[in-house]
Amino acid sequence: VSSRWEGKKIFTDVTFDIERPVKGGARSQVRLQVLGGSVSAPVPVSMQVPGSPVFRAGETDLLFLETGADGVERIVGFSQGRVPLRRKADGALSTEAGEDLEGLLQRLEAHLKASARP
Amino acid sequence: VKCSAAHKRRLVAAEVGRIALGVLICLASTLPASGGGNLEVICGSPYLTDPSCAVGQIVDRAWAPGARPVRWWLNDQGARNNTEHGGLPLTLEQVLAEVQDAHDDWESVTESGIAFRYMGTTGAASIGMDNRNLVVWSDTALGGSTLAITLVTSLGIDVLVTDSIRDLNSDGTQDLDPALYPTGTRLNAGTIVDADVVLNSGDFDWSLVPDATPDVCDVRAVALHEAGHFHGLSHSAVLNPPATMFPFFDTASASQQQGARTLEWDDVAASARAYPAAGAGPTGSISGRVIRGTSTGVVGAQVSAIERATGRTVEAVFSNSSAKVGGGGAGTFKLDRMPPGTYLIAVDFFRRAGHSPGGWRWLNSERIAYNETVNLASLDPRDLSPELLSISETSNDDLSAASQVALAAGEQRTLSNLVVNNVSPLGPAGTSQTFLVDDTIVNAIPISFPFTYFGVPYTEFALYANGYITFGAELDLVFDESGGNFFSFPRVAGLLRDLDPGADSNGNGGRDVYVRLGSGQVEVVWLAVPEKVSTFETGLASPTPSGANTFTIGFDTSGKVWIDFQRLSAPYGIAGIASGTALVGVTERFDFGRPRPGFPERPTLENATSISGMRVEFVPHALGGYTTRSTQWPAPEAAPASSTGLRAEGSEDVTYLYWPDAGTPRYHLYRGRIAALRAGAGYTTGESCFATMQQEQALDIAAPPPGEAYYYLVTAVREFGIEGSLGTSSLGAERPNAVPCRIH
Repeated sequence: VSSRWEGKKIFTDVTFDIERPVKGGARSQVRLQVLGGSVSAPVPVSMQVPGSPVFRAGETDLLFLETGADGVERIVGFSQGRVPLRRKADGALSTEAGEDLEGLLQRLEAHLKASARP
Repeated sequence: VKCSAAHKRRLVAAEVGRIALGVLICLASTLPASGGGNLEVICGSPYLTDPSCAVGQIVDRAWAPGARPVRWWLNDQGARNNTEHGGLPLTLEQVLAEVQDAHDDWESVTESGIAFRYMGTTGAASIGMDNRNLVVWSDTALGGSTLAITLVTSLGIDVLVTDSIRDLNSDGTQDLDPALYPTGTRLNAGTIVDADVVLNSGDFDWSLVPDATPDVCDVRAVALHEAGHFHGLSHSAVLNPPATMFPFFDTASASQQQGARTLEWDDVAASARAYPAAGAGPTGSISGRVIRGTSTGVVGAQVSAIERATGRTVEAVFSNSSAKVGGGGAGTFKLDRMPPGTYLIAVDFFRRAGHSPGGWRWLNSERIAYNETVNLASLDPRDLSPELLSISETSNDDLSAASQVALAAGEQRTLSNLVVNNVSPLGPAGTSQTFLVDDTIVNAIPISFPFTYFGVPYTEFALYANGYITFGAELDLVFDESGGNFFSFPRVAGLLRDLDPGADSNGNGGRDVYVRLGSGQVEVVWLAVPEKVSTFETGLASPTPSGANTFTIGFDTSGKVWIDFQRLSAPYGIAGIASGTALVGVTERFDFGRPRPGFPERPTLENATSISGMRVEFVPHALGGYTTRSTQWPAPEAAPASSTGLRAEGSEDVTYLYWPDAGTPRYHLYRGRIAALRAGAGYTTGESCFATMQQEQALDIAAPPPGEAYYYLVTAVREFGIEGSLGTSSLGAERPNAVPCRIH
């Protein structure tokens, strides 16, 4: 996770190692460019969109991505497309609401199959 | 009136429109960054020898005095492409007027000194730190569910302005305008130096008034919200009623947009905190500290002030992190800029797992980005049980009376510590613990005194895990507990809801229902009982029981029944009494809030605080039924205004009635014969209460007798059955409501 100036804007580049693709082509990594972030040089400046997700290195998330009309891949609906995951004592991943990731993915896959029907 | 083909098409369209309400769309800036307050920034390494903050400390964002009035420009394309989603073309002048009015609304807040200056239109369309604060519509910059965003740029350290530092990103242009920030000006960390607003013209059209077309949204409402961010305000969690800075609204709801057009006190207070105005009204403050145990500060708890007289949440803040500059230490809070009044103080856990305040089930913890204070908190749902500050505040005061905090004009009041409740509360004194777990029943509990319920004597009652008791009916585990079945049994429901007294999600080991069998009265207590949140409601396959609901059902020898709502976190439910005969006039029911879009039979509790701390009594009357009275809010004078605008269209076989949304959960629709009215019968007498509706429309398939006609009247009914007026007659006299509809 690193933030940088690009012209007049600060962007935060976030690189995810993909543990499990659910939909779309298989990739080992995905790199997202999120508007906003904090830079320390030349002067510490912070640029924030209230409601935009804030990422920290080492976190695990389930992400819903879309490619916008501008061709840029982004998270659906700002933070709405990001599901932070936490690792439980038994090592399994779950959402903050306590749902096992496996259960959530099964529902997602069932939904995707249903959506794919003609 | 004959039913024309066009009319039939309209009926169909109305139904489709109703269905569309189930799709919650779009939300200004999408997400709550925090629950009331100001945008924050974490300080970097200081440049100056006397910094206002150290590395890692938290400060609020705000414009410097020299930059106020804050300048802004409007992109000269205005609301472009405004006819793609059902909207009408808007001129640049029209949208400018709306955006200006939004800024003017913030300026007119006497408690806040914020001011803005419109600088004109510009062809510039790109956002970022460029010394030009822009309002622009964009077809591509935002995702499909986002109405608008505001990009706020601020300093992360203190700066002493010199010519060498004006170019903050080394791109060769000056970012700190010498006209605003002369050399030698000191700007503290958190100073906003640029802000831009982007509205979504690709996925939405825009209107000059609140519009129920799903993809058409009111410019003014959204501009008002974004102007809040523009001057440093964060999102608000206040839902009762929704603050303008609440981050979501349904674009298919004109009433929600109308509500967002008006600043609530929580909005005003946040602006006033950042820009205190000289000569503002006589507001005061309520300070305190949220602790666990004897001294550990609880950071990131949502603390709300609830107006005692109305049940409305006036202001909400978070308890501070020790890193907050000027915050007073871990767990401290300050509800400042408070108007004088009497308040209840609520503490809650904002990141509720599984569901969230107001039943916005999709607003769950995965979808919330926090402000810096809450980010540092790492609260777990088990850390905090929702409660009210009690008269004798302890860690085990779930059933204690709430403390009424009186605040005089200008008073700076400090409370005693608000102690987070123990997640394993002790059972109330003098009670017996039942063995109720999920979906279980205790049948045939004896009553030691003659108890008459709706005219029928009973000697025992049955107790159900899901928040109710019944008389004379011992039900089995396959009993249909749906709301639609509520009236089928003699029942008292404190919170008819899928509750799980056996769940250990709150750490208390379950079996949280207690019974007190007195010689003259019986009380049943649900103590911190979590919900068994359903997959249907949350969209989660295996949601964890969560929340804490504490309420008491009681009845005594006089036949009186009461329900004490000590503290609820459930997003909705049914509470009230039923005779079991389902007869209108002898059945009382009240729900917690307005119908959820798409689920009118499942009312939404808009905010747990709207009912917590209240007692409702049902007192038997001579006719065998009950009179409802509330010993707490809402105040009797809080009846809604008379509903106006009833329209009827009909054919030989149906009359279609519809009226504007009055913002209430129910309506009573009266019907009578005009001939009877002319003969001297009052309104609502004779053939009168036609229907109790949760929607702003009804169909009547009855036809008046030959040669006669019907009149219709509609009243708005707010929570707890408080009904608005029938309005005035053509002579200007108040229409008496001789036989009001009973909620059923």
